[in-house]
Amino acid sequence: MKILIVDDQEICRIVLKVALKDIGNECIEAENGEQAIALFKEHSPDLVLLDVVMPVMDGFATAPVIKELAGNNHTPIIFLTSNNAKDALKECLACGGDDFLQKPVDTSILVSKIKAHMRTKSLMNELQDKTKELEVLHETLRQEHETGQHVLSHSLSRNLSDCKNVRSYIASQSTFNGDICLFARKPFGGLYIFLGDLTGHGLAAAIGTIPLSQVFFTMTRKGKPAASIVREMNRSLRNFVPRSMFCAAGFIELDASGERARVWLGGLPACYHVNAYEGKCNEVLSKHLPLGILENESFNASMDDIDFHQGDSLLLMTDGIPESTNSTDEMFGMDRVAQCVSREQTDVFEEMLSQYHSFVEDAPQHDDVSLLEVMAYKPEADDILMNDVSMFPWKTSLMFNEEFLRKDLNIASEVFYLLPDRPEFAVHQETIATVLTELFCNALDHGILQLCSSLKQDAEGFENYYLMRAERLTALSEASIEIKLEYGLDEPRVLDIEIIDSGAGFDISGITERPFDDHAPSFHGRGLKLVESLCRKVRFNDKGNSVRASIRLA
Amino acid sequence: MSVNVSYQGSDQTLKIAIDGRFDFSHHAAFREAYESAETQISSYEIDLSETSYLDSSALGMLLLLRDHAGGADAKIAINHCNDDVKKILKISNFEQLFSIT
Repeated sequence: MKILIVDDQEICRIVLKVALKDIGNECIEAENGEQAIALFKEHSPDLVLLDVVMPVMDGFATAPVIKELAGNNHTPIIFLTSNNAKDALKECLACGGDDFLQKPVDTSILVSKIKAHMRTKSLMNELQDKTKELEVLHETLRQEHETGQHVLSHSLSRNLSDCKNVRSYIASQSTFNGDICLFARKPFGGLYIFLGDLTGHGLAAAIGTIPLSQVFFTMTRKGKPAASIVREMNRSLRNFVPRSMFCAAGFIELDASGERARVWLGGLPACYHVNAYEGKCNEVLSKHLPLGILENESFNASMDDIDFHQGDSLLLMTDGIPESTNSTDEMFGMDRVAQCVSREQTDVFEEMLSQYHSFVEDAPQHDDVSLLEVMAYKPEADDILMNDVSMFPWKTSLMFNEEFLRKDLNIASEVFYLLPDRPEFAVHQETIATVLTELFCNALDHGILQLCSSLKQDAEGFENYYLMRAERLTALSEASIEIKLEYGLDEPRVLDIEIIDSGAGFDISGITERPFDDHAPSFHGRGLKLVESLCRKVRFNDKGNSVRASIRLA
Repeated sequence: MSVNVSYQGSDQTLKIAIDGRFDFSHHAAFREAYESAETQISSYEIDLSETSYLDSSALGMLLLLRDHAGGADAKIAINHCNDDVKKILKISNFEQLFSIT
């Protein structure tokens, strides 16, 4: 340890130096305050022994300067004084000293005092290191939170913000929300609504919202069935987050007519169907486990169908409201929730919120709180995603040879990957898929494999047909099917699909209107009719090995 | 893609749920689902809540089931169809043959 000894009398300095060097200290000596300050700057000693009465600059004047120089680095100053008057001793501590000792100095007491001060110093150093560490951690955390907030807010950037028939109250307990509320329009009108409450709250819980929102936006854009979306959200969450984490959730799908709702509830409090016409309120109970717990094989995605009339609404909430507590630690509870919704002729959403607020008053919030109200509505034209239609025309062609045809792949989904990732194609996905599948199937089964639909007269015939199909497909040689796609070439927003097979063709004069027979419907021959009803026109060439269908994407 | 079979309650309803695309690749599994029923089945429910798509061969398969279940006397409900599936069933006038919701 390095000790600065400040005394104008050489003999005093020698006595102290000998005693301190004996126990392994390094000593620096100064004769007055001015020298002491210079040496302090140069050597940064760990402790200072300071005489009071000195020429040039005395101890009382020196102590504050040294303390100032030491700054945050705690450096004890022990005054050595021959004046034992109370005021003098008080002044020693008032001007920045940490202790004092009577002259002549008893070296054994001095050594004990130094040891005690060094213990304090090492505690102070430790504290300072911890503080620095804490500051670094705090800054890192701040930056991480900033990044987290950025990512989370962008993961929700596709969320529909202007749903006229939805009201929501969402209050997160911290910066990050473990409750998640997602909205999307169905491509043909109608709405998807998701409310989830992830285990815990804050950043850890908020991270779990990312896989959920990504699955939601990807699948809703394609207009997938609600049950499939819920199932995929379950799978994704299970793969993404630790086993201890799950998401109590509710999914509502409103169909395009606005008159039917489907509800899936897993682990959330009951949802309420406020039936305006009958003037009553029905509970829809949660029948399932939360998302992220069950493996897909045992997951149950079945939904409740609800008849929804003008004026009806659905009220969906997380456990935030029923489990909130007031200042006396009493819980709001499901009974109060049920009372709110059963009150006649009131705005249930507002009633629930006002009851909740007046109950909790200013008691601290312990969890994220979310409340959603979905009202029945008549969809309007602008609810359908039709305004953003790409205008530039393009054409492309695909060729499948026998090697590819033998694989018997799902052509429609393969081709769909090649189409532009734009809403007008997503919206008409199923129509395009149907036309492609039916026409491709005709080209392969009838055009190339020369199979006759009339085989499909009964269950056995069906079986035979597909057995024969498999045999001929395996033995297939030198055959091809070409798919030509044209968009907006002849007419804007029209997709033309042309399918040309290498087969011998057929007598197209045979295609006549087959009357629909109610009593003995035929098991086959439906594909082409389906295509004709989905397309603006369907034309075969004279040889019967090429067909062209036009679909209007608007 | 799978065909799941379950029995509902005591009224001998056979429920068949189809997951994914309903097309000719399901032919064998779908036929097996109703032909292998051990008890006397009085009605059928086809659950399409997780069916994204069906093609014309699936329509043929539904008609085969109708035939198996007694033709005009068959009690078959096709439930939870999405809009696209419903559209295809409607175009083919299947609502005259099945109860579709």
